[in-house]
Amino acid sequence: MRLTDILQEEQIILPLKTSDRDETIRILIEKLANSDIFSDKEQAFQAVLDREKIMTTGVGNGIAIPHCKHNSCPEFGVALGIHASGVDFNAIDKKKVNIIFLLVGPESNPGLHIKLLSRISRLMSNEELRDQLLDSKNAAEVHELLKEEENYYFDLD
Amino acid sequence: MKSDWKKTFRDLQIKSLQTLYKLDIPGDLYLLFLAGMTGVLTGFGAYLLNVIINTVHFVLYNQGGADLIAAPVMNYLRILFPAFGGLLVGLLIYYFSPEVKGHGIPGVMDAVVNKGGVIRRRVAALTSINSGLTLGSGGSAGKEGPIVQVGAAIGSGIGQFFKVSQSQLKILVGCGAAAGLAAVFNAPIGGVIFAIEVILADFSLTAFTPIVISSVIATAISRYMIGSSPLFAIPTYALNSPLEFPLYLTMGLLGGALSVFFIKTLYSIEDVFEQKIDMPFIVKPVIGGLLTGILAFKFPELYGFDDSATHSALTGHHEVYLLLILMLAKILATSFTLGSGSTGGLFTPSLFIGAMFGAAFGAIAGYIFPDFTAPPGAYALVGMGVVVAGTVHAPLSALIMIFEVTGDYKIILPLMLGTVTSTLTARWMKKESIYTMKISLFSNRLEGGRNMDILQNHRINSLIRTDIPIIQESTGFDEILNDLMESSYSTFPVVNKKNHVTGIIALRDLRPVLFDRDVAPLLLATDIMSENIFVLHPQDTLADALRKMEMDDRDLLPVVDSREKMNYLGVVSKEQILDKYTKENFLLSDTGD
Repeated sequence: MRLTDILQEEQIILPLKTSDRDETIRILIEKLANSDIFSDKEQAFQAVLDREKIMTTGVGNGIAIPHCKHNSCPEFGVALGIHASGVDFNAIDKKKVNIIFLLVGPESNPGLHIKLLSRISRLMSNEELRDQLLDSKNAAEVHELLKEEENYYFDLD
Repeated sequence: MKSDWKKTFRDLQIKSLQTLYKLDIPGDLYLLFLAGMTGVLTGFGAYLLNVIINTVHFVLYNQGGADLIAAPVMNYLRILFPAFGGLLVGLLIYYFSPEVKGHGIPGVMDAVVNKGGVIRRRVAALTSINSGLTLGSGGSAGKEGPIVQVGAAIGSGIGQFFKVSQSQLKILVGCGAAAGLAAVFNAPIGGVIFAIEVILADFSLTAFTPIVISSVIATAISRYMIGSSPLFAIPTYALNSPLEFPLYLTMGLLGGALSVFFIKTLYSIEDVFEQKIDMPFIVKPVIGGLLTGILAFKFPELYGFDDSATHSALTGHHEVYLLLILMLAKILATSFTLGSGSTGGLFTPSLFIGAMFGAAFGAIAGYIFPDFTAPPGAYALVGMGVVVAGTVHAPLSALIMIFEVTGDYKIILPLMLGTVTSTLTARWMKKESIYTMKISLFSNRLEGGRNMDILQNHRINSLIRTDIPIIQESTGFDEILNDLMESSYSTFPVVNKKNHVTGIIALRDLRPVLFDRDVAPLLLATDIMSENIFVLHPQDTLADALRKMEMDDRDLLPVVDSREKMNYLGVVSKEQILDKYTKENFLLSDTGD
């Protein structure tokens, strides 16, 4: 399995037009809710915010990976939003974030959760790819770029 | 003078151990040497047991019959012989040693679990004589129980003499048991597996090597002195058609139920002898012997020394009704013999019962499905494995033993299917095997080689430790890694700001991140931790806690006040529980000398 098997084209929002962190997370949750991932999307939203309150997931370089492990998310789900002007995520380098991956999954599988997080952060450490994503025209193009890049990696399980 | 000799011996022992250490030889060579000694002595012990049985048999049945008494009278005297054997056994037990009563193996298992492997030395000699009298006089039982007990007593004696540790003493008891079984059945692998699966319940490699050595030596001696053909020389059987598998499965199910019936009958009759009959102890084996004698007068195949019925069932020469009658009669005869206090084993009777059952099943199956069934002898062979597995709850031992006593590999698949099904059925119907049931009658309950009474009577509240680093949900990966490297623990509880337990982090949870450092700065304890499937309460017993740890595959679990509140109180580790168990068990041990 790969990240791009879980993150489908339909779960990519481009352009993302939100004004703050909570709204961004809300919109990405809604995007996943369309594909029946949650047993209770309100709880999932709260869980992601709770995690964010412990420590920001804005890891710098314009990337944020809000995520949660919660029993309201029986399936793994990933949504991606690309925000042209950037949102404030209270990131560690204080910069606004443009690329936001939302990851949700069940409590029972921390292994895959970490692998997905790790795959996202590995992909996003590639500066060229980050620039290409920001220059993309539509969701299909974003998905294609990620898929191509992921060809250089092993399957996740 | 004696103390001088002891001191010299001790000095020599110390010197030789130091030399061995310098020579960099394998650390357990010493134990292997003792195991070899156990094998030699047990191999000769098995030969001696045979001699005693044959002598008693010869004196009573041949010498007495042919030379002194006319044939018709002799024929009736046969009823009395097992009772005569019973009388002598009763006297010996009464005057010397009560623990040699019955079928031997439970006593050995009890010694391993509850007594640190200590067995009284006199047990070896008395068991040989008692079982020799019981079996030679015609009692319905086998040689294997006594020889296992003799071997175990030899192993234990050697270990005690050389003052080995408790864990090594137990291994030597296992060596003796394996050697004994291997020697009487000419089944070296079966002996090893039996010692590991039933006596020690320990599949570790440390136990394996000495047991193999002991078994090989004892078998070699026995082959040289007694003979080397398989116990039952029979035609080779094989699976005739895959359609037979459902039949063998059914046989496993029925055989499991039959095994439970055998166990229950044996212990009900033993109960009658022990509790209900108000008579001097010495008289009881006489009554048991007499009842066996009456049954065996009608069916001489029931005598313990006679394996002709098993043999003919394996070669397929019996009527179905006769097979079924013999099966039930054997259950009764064995119960009379052993339930009344005589000494003998259950393995051979189980083989007998299984062979009758299997042959009858095979004959009926052949009658209904004549097109695809193998001859009844094939079913008799698998039936032996099925009943042995069902009575001793040890499918692996049963399967290997049958393979070795018949030398038939081609029937291995049905045999595997049958033994496993039968064990499952028997265990489902009755939790205790024919051995552990006996132990639970005179001592503490055993499960997986542990004394359940200790585990259930102690609670974990005295074991709770609070010196372990607690990880906050918000702790970052690098800090967790640091804590882990500095601590002597390898599993940590995770708590939130309110000090409620929210999860647990073990070494294995960190491994995926260790090789993927990009993600590390992103991760907090809350991302890495595993949720708590099980938590402990101070009132949990050691047994509860161990079960939770085993189910959850954890070496340590957090203790909380209640599942609802999850207030953190501390942790308890598996190591602490086992340590507590070992110490409590030590206090209970009766070294008996």
